[in-house]
Amino acid sequence: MTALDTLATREDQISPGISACVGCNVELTLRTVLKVLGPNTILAIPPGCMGGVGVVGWDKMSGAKVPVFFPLLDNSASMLAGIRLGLKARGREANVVAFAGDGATVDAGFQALSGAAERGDKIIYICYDNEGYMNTGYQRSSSTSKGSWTSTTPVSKEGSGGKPQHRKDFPLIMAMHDLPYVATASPAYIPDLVKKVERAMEVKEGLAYIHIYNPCLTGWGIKSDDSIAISRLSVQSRFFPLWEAHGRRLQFTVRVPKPVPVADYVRRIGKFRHLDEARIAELQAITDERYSFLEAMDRMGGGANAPGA
Amino acid sequence: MSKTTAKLMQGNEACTIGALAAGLEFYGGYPITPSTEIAEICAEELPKVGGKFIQMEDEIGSIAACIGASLAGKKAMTATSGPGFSLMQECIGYAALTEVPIVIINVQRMGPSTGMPTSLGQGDLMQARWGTHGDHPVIALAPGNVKECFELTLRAFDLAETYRVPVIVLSDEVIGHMREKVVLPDPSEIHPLRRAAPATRAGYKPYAADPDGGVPLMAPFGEGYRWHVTGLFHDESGKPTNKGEIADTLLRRLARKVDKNADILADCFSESLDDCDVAVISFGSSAMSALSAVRRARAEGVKAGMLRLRTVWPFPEAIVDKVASRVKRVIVPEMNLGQLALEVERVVGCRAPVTRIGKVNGELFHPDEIYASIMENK
Repeated sequence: MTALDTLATREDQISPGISACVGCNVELTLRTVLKVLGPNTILAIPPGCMGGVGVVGWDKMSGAKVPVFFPLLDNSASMLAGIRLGLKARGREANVVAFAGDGATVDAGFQALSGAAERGDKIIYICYDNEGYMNTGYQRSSSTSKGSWTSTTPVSKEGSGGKPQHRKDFPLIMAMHDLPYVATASPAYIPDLVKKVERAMEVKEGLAYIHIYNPCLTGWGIKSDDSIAISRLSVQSRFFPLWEAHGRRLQFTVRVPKPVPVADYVRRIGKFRHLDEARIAELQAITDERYSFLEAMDRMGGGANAPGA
Repeated sequence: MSKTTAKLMQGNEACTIGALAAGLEFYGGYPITPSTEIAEICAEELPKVGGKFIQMEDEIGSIAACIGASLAGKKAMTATSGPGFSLMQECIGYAALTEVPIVIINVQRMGPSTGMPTSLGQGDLMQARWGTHGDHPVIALAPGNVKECFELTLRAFDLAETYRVPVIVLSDEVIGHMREKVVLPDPSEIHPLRRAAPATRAGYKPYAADPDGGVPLMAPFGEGYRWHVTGLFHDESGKPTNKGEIADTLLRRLARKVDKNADILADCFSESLDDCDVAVISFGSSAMSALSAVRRARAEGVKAGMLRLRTVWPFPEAIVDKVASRVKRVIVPEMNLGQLALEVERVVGCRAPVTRIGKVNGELFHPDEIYASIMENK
């Protein structure tokens, strides 16, 4: 079954009428992921955009059709670890899934997630990374790119020019837990995303982790009809490469032999408006360095000729 | 000539201006509604005055960073709301036991748990006093309008430095987001306490006993003063101990710092109390509605009076006791199910009936609700 067949034939597990921003690609991502996961899923959505827009069922007007709960910002993985073992004790099998933003994953939720990963709790943990705390008006997270304006990394005449640090490479950090499956994904590459969710579901033991990069229209200053184009540019500029790893065997799933300049991506995003050429060059250099590191891992994993590539 | 500034501002903004006037040099925080503006303004303003803003990975990190910055000799603050305040509790105990001055602004929302993030609550009153484990000293101030957000945050820093305790500014969603005109004093007339280093390095005893409830000056870490900082019970130099006698002395001394100075710390607003039959006792935004109800009752010839607590911890017992000695009835409106009322009842005892008006739907009291209670059995 192709990804298109899957999406065309499966039931949408999210009701109509949720209140995401116009053009939000996280809504698309969530609907896609849940179509693949199917009805036998227990879903945790911690505080963040998707909790706020009604997927957790505000006033019973809208929400997920699968059992969904709203854990706290810092403990989704721990609550799911308990759910998994509770279900196991009852002899029940289900996809036990977190769909969490970057704040609940890479910042406050990291201790719980790392604990679950190391223990090998059988959870599918999906992070939708929009580079910050959008629900409270866009504050920086440790996933926010270098140079970004956010309300806590302001841009001012006094010389502060957005966030000084670059985003941590969180999917690689998760891969270094030696997990059975780790992948990165993008709403601009839906067939790739569908395949990755299916692979996460095939995991028999241990935690599967998928990190999805979701440029945020409202927070980043992107036009609402530019959502997918900019998501695609993030991949085509190698700014956010798409790969998957079984243990430490990492391979690219979308190869980008002729990347577009990072500048082409950055210049279409409002939060980077203040960056001059030197600072964009800096982002290009970081992107190149990180990509080289992944290329080396990809080569070790067998590169384009590896089985399954 | 003194130069005041009049400005329309939000309570959260006024807290930040008060903190900067007090000499805030370090802010460590994590975004949470309804306190986030405080972090955002600090991110903007602190670098301009040579201060440091740091956004942490969660609220545990936020308060821990403040403790570190204070140890390094800087005035430090964080701001949060209920869920974050819960995460901070372990470090509040640490700051209390290690006697590291810090200021925590808790802009309360409806709880428990995630609760109603954008709605008013005052359910953290007891948590501010007893949230961390073990007996510990703590001071908590509750602003009742935007101007007091400025004044009490300014005072919070002085108290933190004076007594080397964590000081909590217990604001709430309405006070934090309400906008009012505030006349700020001339900066030259603000004299915040500056932290002075102990005179001599040799023989420095950071935890030496003072029978009057005072505390030794706090030395900045890494400047040649030999002292030890630990969450274990410790002797006068800070070295850990398991000796019961030293532990007993330490805990009683910590309690004395606040207890002995209760009169200095007590701070209330009152109106029409002297001849009243019905006293309304409240704090924070609930007291705004209460005052309106009291004035209406007065206008109609009912002897109602208002007591609004600006210091909630230590509980201003002496003031409440005086009120209790002459009124026929006490009414306690608050946005929880009776936390302030518990303390009021303890002090009032059998002298007068105490009517609890607890509200937990996230909506500010309408003055009519409190007025109706005043008019019952008047």
